[in-house]
Amino acid sequence: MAFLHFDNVGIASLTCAVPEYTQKVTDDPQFPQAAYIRSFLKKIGIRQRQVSLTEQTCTDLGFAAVTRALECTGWSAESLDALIFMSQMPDFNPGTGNAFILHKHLGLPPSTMVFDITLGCSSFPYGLAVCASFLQQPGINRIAMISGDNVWSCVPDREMLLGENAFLFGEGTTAVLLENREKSPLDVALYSDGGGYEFLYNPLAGSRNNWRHGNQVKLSHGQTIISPGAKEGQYMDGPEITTFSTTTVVDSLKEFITWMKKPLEEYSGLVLHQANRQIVKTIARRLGVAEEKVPLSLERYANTSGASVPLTIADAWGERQEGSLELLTCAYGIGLSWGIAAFSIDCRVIQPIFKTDFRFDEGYIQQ
Amino acid sequence: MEKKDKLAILEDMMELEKGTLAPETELNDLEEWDSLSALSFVVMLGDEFGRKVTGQEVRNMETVQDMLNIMEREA
Repeated sequence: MAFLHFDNVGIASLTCAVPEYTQKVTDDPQFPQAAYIRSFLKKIGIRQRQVSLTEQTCTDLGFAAVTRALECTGWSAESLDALIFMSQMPDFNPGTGNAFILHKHLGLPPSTMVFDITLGCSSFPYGLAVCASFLQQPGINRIAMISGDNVWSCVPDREMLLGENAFLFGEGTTAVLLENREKSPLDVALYSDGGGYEFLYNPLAGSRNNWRHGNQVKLSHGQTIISPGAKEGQYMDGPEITTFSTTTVVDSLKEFITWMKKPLEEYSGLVLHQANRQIVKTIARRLGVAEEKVPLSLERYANTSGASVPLTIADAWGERQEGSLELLTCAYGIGLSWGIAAFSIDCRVIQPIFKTDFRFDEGYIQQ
Repeated sequence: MEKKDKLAILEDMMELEKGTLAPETELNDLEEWDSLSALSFVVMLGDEFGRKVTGQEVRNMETVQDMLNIMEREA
């Protein structure tokens, strides 16, 4: 059972970088006739998002985010003992993880250990648990955890990026600096259900179908689906994912709350992965948490995958200069994978979300 | 719960005028029935009836009667 308790994990900084370009749902020339736009505004709850039109990747945004976080703490980059990049979208091949590119550009020494962890929307509690475990070692006192994915790199061209199907997702990459600090409890619960892997996946993106052509895929329970292309995002069984997010995840949250022996009212906020408005509202309602305690960044930033929980924290409390928060956070998604993390955070370490067009000018194919 | 009450729940869910739906109504004929309404149906089933439904069952629904059958079946 992956219920983990740590006594000594402090959050030293939380930053979030987003691309400069803001795209509104209402920018669509078909507004307000197009039915999908009404659905987006009303049911999914997305009004606008940040998206890169300049080929920024989450590595570029992650560099901007972690650089700002280091500035805020006054830490030198070389003082980091580890850097872990949570993403399912490497700039290059998965083995050359994004963490190595940051290792180079931050000028980290070989003694700073870095690697990527491949997870999607659930990555935040997993990353915290991995970093916290390393922080128990005497040789590791400071870790940077970067979380993010891209949207533009999942579609074949700009037209599709700005169209209906890609609008569910926005871009943003977060950096969280963690340190070994006394009297700083962190509690995490992690869950997996591989039985649901076919409810949210891309059958054409990896090895299994590399030498097979066509896009009809027979699922293990007999249903045949038309798979999206390798560059066209993921297949999703909406009703199954909705059931998972609004029942299984709610049950796990209840289990965690019982384990913690701390009533929900004692938390300053419940920060949920911003999948869509209906899922966020339903989880909060089923737990009996008041709406004002459940921040929504979705309407302005859409679903930013693994960055969603820390981005929402930055959006809700980035301007606050005093006090501390007791947060209950929960992220869920592809895998199926979900996790819950409870911790306290000083508001002064939470930076407001910032926009940047920064990107590294290397590694491009010459045209 | 009577059938008319269940129809009222479905009308409310799809934001339709009262009395619009009948058991024989084809879902494909309803402009308000889309993939997002299907997700609302999943949430409503849990809230009002404490029931789960599979993605395949939702995709197999063709008429309002199919929805009523899922709402009425044993938990």
